[in-house]
Amino acid sequence: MTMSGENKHNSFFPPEDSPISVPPAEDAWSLMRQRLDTGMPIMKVKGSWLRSLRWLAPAAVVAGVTVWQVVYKPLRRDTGRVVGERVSVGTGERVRAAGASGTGAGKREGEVGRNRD
Amino acid sequence: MLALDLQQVIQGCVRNERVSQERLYKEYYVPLFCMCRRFFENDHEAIESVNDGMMKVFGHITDYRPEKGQFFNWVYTIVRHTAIDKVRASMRPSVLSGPYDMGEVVPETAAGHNPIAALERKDLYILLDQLNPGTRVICNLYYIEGYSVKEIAENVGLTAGTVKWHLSESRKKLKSVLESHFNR
Repeated sequence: MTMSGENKHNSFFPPEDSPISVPPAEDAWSLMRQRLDTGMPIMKVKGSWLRSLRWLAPAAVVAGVTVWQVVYKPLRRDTGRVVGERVSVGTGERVRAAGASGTGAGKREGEVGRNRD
Repeated sequence: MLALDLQQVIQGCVRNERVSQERLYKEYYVPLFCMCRRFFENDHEAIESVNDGMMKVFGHITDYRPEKGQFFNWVYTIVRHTAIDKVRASMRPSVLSGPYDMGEVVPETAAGHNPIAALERKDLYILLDQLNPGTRVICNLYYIEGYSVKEIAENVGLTAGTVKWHLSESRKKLKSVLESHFNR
């Protein structure tokens, strides 16, 4: 059965023209409410900690970004400088790594290899 | 209820808000109660049936799709099916299944004429109260709710012949009521 074919119901017994004595809606609703409270209870937000979470979450994000800006970013810049250089094991001399800008890098790399042997 | 209002109320019901649920319940209470009262002999059972159905409505309100039809019709269909299930569950099989199988005898509807539709609305309830519970349900489904014999048989769990027997019984028992009505 489709619902589209059942449009007659609203007009069959219009509420204002009820053919029989209808018990008060308030009484029926109070019974319904009891059933709803049992079967579909309302989940109440307990305490203020959940409410404070609304402020805590953005604050945590801002704090996180600030920490990242202050601590992590300068560290990355420093690391970038170090990556370009390596220390020769044998001589303790600082050499430029392959691919780093500058001249004579390949040669020094070779020297490091020989020292290991 | 205005269309915009209805949307807000439905959304409130989706959020399980009591205020919205109360508005929806009270808006549809009278037609739903009248429908359930035709299935049951007393007000208490009718209210219980309305509430059973409305629990399903509130529990499955997210399943409603506007393209399938009006919201009221969706609610009405759920509550009616709940009432039918309640009738079927509460009755002993012997109450619903008549002693005779009418086979292929077609109910006398006089070329589509519905004798019950001609009655005053108030008389309809007096008339239904004179029938036994099983016949009452089938009479209600056939003449008022517009179910076909086949649909009643499927919904109530009877053979088509038994449904026809109930319809025949209802006409026999109500003959005097109908005659007095038409002789008025």
